Amino acid sequence: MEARALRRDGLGEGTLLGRRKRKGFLALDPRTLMGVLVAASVLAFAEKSLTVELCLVCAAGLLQALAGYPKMAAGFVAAYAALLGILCFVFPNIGGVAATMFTISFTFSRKIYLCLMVGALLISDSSVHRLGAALAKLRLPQTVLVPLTVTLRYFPTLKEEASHIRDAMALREIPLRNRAECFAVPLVMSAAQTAEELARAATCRGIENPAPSTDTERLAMRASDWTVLGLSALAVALTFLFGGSF
Amino acid sequence: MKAGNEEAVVSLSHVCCTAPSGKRILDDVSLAVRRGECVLLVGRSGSGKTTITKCINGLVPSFEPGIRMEGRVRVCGLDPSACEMYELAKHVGSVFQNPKSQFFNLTSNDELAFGLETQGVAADEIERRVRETVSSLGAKRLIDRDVSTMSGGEKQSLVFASIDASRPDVFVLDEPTANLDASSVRALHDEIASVLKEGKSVVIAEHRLYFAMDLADRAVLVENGRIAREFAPEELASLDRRERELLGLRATDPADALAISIPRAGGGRREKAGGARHKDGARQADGARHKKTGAKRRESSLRREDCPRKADGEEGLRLSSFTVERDGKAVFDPVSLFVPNGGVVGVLGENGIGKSTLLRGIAGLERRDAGTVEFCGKRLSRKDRRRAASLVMQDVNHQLFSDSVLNECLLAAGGRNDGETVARAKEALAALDLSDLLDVHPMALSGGQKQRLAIACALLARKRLLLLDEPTSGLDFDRMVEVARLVRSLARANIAIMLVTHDHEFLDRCCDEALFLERAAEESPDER
Repeated sequence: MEARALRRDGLGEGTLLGRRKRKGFLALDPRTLMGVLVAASVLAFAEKSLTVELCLVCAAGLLQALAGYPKMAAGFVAAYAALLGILCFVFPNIGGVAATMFTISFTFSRKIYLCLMVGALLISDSSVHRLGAALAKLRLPQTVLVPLTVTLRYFPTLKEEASHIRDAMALREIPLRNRAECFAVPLVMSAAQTAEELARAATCRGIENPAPSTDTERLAMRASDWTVLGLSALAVALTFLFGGSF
Repeated sequence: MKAGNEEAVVSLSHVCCTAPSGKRILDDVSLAVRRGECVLLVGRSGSGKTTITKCINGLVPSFEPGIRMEGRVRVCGLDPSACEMYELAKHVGSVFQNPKSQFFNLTSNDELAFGLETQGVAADEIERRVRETVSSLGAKRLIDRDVSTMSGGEKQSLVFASIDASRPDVFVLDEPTANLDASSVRALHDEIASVLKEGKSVVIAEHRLYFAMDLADRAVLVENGRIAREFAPEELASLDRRERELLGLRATDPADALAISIPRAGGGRREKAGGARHKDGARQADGARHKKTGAKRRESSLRREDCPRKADGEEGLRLSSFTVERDGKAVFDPVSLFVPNGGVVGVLGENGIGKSTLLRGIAGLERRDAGTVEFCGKRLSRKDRRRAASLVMQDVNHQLFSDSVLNECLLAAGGRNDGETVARAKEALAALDLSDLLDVHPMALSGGQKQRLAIACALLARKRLLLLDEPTSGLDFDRMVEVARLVRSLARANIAIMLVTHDHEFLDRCCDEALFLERAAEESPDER
């Protein structure tokens, strides 16, 4: 009876909380993606042949596509191909100081490329709220979690304030030598003020409550999550054992 | 509303608060709020209204350790100074002035759940209560939104709704409407009415009295930290204008508070807009007041005729079909108008319609715009406009850069430090009543002083076009009148002024014409 009454409130079917904008073939838990990210970081240290590396990048691309981000996957794979092409064919032919300089940064990007791919997927697929819920499930203490989520929440405000300050500076013709200072002072000041107001509002809403917070995202590890984690572990193990020899 | 029983939900008895400097902020305040009652705290800025709200929601003493508090406070049987803030949070919900710094999640649904999440209430129960809140407050527009794209009014409604979701007994609102336009104020009014109907108690500290007159059971006048007088709403409404202004209070009658007696400036769709219904019945009042102020207006237009014109063109700012474009679409309906030097035009419009964007566009801060901006007969590029215009922002903290008031002025005058510049700076500061504060850090100034300093900087940079964004948000009657006088005196110095405001009392006092900004016509209805 009540459930039907709620349907009639015009807010639509399904849950209000823990709604997600995009759903792919795989709806993964953020914890799974964090696990895959760890695996990707470990793999960065492993010795691997070109074939293995290509396989891994394609696998990560496949994961992105299945999670509902085919464009992201295509972009990353294409960029990887470009990176590889430049490193293997362009730089060896032109030589010189510039090439050496870029070779270092490009090689480094190639090393951490898997981490970038999985990291991008994690950030796009989960809101700050969802990440917070996942970290809480992983028993990250409140003392770390609260500042972390508030910091993440503050970034959009910071961006907005920085743009206001840039505007104010544009109208004031500030001498070049004073620019940095003129930018930093009001930014820090307003950050301090926002922090104070936020803390006040948070306290009044009961953020200090020691009771464990409700997980309104309703996170749960499903079979697909365990499969993805298992495959990642397998990839790590196989790469360390045989990665160099293919 | 008065039917609530006699049980006091909030009681302050003989409460005194002393600041670290020894100043008495509250002096023997006793106040009881019954269940279901709505109490309005009125009085000048700095009289102690906010401190009373802080005693109720526990910010004094928990968040202001410097303030020494004596006396006894009980809120729903709890002593705010002895219990944990999260215990108190179950009974008291607070809404503050600044809509920007009161939410913790980037999506509105998560924000609505926040209070209950921290209490560890089961997820299905949270879901149920959030739905209940949304339907009882009629706040469907707040669902599934990205908080960073919401207007100030919507944010404030969201804060109110998320507090309501955790079902506190007492709502404490500290100047909740300071940054809101008339329609957002009305939305908040309806939300407050709906929780009062459920038997909750509400305490509101506010300068804008008109919106709460029909909600309040009584109004408490706070003066110098004491409760000076109590009014029944009818009593407060029947104060004549002079008495009310003597107490530093703003208009209580919506027709007065929302009336606009100054003429319209040339809007984009003027013929259509003229016939359009004007909200809150302000139009009816408008007609009557129009006649009264007619004489004054003739005088002002006379003065404008006196304004000397140069041979090469008109003296002032002319906008022709001007609009700002974002994502290839006009943000607001194109504006054509003329602001003579010495004239003041006020810009009105709903929250989020693009009033600030208009000012930013005129100042050359928006990347893409359409139409032309001429100043003193010369068409100005975006870069020229950045040179010609100065903008006093809503948050003036963003535009004060230096380490002292004097250095701020010298920086504005081109970074020189010679005797002549210093003398000019001192002269400008004296004119704006800031000469005692030469060595003070700008961030240590009060809000009004910061605003005047920003204006001093504009004058020192010899700018003839001044743009003001919400110069009176959150000001009491006296300070609003002060700003209005300042604006008039700047206009007399032959500066063209355009200002954005929600404050119709202020608009009526200092503007010659009002521009009603409208949403761009091309926008299809399914957007937003």
